[in-house]
Amino acid sequence: MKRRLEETLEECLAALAGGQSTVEECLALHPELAAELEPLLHTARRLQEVRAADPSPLYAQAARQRFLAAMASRRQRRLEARPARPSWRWVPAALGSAALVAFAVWASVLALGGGGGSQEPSMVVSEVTPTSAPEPVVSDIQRQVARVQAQLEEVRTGAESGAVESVVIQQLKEETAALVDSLDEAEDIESEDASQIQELLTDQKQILSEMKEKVAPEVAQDLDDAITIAQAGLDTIQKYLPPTPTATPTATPSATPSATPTPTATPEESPTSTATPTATASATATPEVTPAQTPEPTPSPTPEDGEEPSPTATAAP
Amino acid sequence: MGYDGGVASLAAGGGGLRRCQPLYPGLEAQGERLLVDAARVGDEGAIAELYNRYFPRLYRYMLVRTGNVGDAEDLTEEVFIRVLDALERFEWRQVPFSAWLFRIAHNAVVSHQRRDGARGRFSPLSPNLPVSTQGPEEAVEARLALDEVMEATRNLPEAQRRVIALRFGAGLSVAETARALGKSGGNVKVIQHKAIVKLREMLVDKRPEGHEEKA
Repeated sequence: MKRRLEETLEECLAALAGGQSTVEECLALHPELAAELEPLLHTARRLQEVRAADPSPLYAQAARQRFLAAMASRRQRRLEARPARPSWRWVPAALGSAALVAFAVWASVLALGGGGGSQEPSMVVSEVTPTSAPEPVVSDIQRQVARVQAQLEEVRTGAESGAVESVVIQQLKEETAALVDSLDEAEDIESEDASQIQELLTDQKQILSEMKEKVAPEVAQDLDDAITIAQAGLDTIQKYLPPTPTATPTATPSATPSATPTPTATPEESPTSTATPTATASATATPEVTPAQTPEPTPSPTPEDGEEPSPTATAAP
Repeated sequence: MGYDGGVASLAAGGGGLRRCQPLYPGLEAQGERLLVDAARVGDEGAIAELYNRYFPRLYRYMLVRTGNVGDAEDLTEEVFIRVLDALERFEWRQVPFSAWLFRIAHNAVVSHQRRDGARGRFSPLSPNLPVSTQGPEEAVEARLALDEVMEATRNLPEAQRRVIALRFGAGLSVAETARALGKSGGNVKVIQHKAIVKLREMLVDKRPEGHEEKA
């Protein structure tokens, strides 16, 4: 019965709102519910008076102007973000590609003795040409980076004023997730961009972690999610980062043993003769390494020497 | 494209106060889909048209939710800015556009209430607030009636108030209201019924004795 009243009430409200019938007509259509419906429909009619409330023309005009201005500023921001890389910045890459093509042509001509090489160079050109075209992926990523930056800035400002809205965190989460997705899908990212993204995501993690203690539990959950997403992005971006900071320590050990693999192979095969390795090592490796290596193997037992280089030798590639 | 007007009409002031919103805008859904799709990819004409369509509805929703013209104005603008920023991420598979927009509106109200206290503040409607009526006397009467209704609405429980704001302020259908609230249509009808019953009690209590209900 109650369910029927709710349904009938809605039916009458729809008819009243659409101007298809009056309260009386509705009541006449449902005489069995008329007693209960009548007061409700009169109240609903009063509620419908809210539809007569219009925003003041002055406010409406000012709000419209502000909205247009906001739209224009966003358009401007998009335009600024779009030419992610000025065309002149592609010149080195294009020159590099051209040089590569020229080298490939020259090499193939040389290899074929200049005779039947006319087909090879043209194939190389057609294969290489596409790589010199500017890629769309990077500029998309840069646009996303700009969005995450803007959103993070909004979060930071909110945090400073002590009022961080969950919607803002949600948006940051979504923007960061979109960026991380793009990183996963990207074929290549310039190391400069990768460093910028790393810096941004590290900042994000730090800012959000600091905020966690000061916000409500439901917002804290969103913060956790955003931190996790940022971490995922940091993990992904590693492969695009230039190896400069970590290269120095790894290069030194790998350089030294690179000469030793030759001696280690030999002692395993003939453990008794310790003198032979030095001979083979000095024959194959560079002269600077040989003097340092030669005194060592002779006094010390071979297994110790043979153990050490093997892990570094595998690590080197 | 399926829409007209756009930025030019917005800049010229056309459409902002347009009374183009039927309570049950089912037939407009197809056109709106085109409009929203264009807006999502940055078509400013489409964005402007959406603004025109939803501005008065959002304003009335805010009026019912906050019971205060100043807050309703501030929040209406704030929501449109949020919509502008989030529009390209909108996806049809989740909710209809109206439901999505009024979810943003709800979040804005919640944030506002958190800042301003649990219930916000009620103030009678400004005498300058335009009310679409025939003459000045009717306008005064309508404004008083509106004040009374809004004050009563303010005393409803949160869930009922949200339903009333969406149904009678924003003019959403039961289905759209249900999507905006993440409830079933049946549930919305139940809440709506309870809200009207409660409002009825409050409004009758306030009415001077001998006052007849006019049809």
